[in-house]
Amino acid sequence: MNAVLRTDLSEARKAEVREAVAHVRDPEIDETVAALQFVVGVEVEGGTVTLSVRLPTFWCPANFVYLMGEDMREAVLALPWVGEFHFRLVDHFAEREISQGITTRARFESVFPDESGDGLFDVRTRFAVKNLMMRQKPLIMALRAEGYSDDAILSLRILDLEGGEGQIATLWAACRELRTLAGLADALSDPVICDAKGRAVANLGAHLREIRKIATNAAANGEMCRMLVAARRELGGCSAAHRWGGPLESVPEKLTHNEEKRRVFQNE
Amino acid sequence: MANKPGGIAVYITPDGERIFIVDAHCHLWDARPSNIRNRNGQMFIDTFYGAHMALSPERDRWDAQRFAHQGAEQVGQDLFDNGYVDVAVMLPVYLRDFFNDGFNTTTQCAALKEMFPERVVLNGRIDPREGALGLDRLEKDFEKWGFTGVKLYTGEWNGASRGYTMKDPFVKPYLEKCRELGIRNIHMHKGPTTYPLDYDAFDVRDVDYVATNYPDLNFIVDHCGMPRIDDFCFIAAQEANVYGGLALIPSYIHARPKFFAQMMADMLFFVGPDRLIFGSDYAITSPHWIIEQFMAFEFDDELAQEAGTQLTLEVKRKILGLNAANLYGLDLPENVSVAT
Repeated sequence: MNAVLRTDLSEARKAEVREAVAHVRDPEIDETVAALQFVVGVEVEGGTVTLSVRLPTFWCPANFVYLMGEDMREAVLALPWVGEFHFRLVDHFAEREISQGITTRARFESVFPDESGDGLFDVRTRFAVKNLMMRQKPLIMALRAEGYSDDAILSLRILDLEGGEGQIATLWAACRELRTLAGLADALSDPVICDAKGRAVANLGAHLREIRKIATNAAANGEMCRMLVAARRELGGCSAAHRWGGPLESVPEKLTHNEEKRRVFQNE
Repeated sequence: MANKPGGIAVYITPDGERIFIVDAHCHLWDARPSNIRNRNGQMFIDTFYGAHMALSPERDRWDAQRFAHQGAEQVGQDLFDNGYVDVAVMLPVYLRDFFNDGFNTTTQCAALKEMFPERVVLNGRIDPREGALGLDRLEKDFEKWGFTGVKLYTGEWNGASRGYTMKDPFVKPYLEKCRELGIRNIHMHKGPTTYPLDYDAFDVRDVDYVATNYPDLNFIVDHCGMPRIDDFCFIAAQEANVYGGLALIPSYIHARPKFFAQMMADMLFFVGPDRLIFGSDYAITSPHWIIEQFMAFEFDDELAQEAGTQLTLEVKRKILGLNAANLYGLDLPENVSVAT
């Protein structure tokens, strides 16, 4: 293969990787990694992919980062030509542990053994419930637009929407895919519109007000993420010592998160 | 804007009404390179600076040096001369793990209080993980400064601990001590935090527990639990002694007015106008532009319906000052309207 072809292939593969991870969602706000601009670099060497990720802040929750990292890894490894995947988290308080943990397929609990008060599974479940609530809103709106009364919407059972086509079927599929993850019943006789515990809803107006509250919070968080991502990019990353003209040496060499913890223990 | 005797600006509406303004969430800090202990300290101030740049109108953005350290004189200018603030409530945050002499200590806040004794409410700071030693310090601090409120930060780093909840048994002696000393206002930072490994670090469900057990204390949940405003709404709706410290929500008003409006509507609907307290989150963002835009802000009809109220002058008066004046027992100037 000549050099030009090799470059084309590599560019094409980078694009494939970007496309594969673009759909991974931030579990907290139910937005995509692409929309939030978290991916800052893709490198491809033959069948080896290195994905670099930077989040809005140095402090973003390790558990959410880990969930996204796992999802990104699986999305990339699903590409037929990928043999090896390296995750590279940058400018984050636990960048080394998370990068290594995702790359080596370690479990979150083994990377942060004494700090996972809530297991990752619980976190995923709790946010799947919130995201399911939010996804019900466009479905309800579409059903109303189709002429369904509120009572008719609330009495719909899953079997009524299964196997359909068009916009309503798509919106329902988005809800249904979260039912299991959210730990809620999804038998054919279960209600389509349900509360956070999977129960039928009695008052659609009140239900929509609840959804609105969840959506407001998620949207405001999403905006904060976007603003901070932009600020981080425009300020040229995190090396503020340069900006102040101060000596970089005044900022001590970074320890990994676990090293830092050991240091603190030793000092006590 | 008009001048008080002494040349200090207050907020006057276009109709000539003087609005009493309490900025119930202010800091002043030292994040100069000389005070930064480690990379965490650097990253901490960097994150704040990112928020400052993202949220502030272009003409109100500061350079990194000014942002790193304000000093009492500058704070006086920003809050009282140019910021329409009548009274500022100071909320210390120590973070000694990140900053050699602490980030925003009570001592720093006390320097501001000395300069403006009538216009600064000084709060103490507690960290219940410090056990008997911390209780002694609280007593000494109280003797020295005589505050009516304290700030705590359940997600604060302290040695090997990255956080705690209000349900932890070591919290109880501190709340008992506050009771005994007559400290009635407990400011709890429930907002963006530096170590949110667990959901627990910004979980607001422990607020419920202490609010029920200490009905005679007021719990001001600063930042309204953001990024868990939805959970906070649920708790606050049930507990009469839980207040929403809005700081950060009003800071959205310039850069993201739509999201500001939606969050305010939820706060008003679920918590109500009598238990919301304005805060500029100074020095991340400054009160003068927030207050100007807040006073001019109106909901559209749909949002007013979602909120259960329009952002009327009465609602604004309460949020901007009267609610906090009640909490802190502040005397209102004679020409301030409390009409409803």
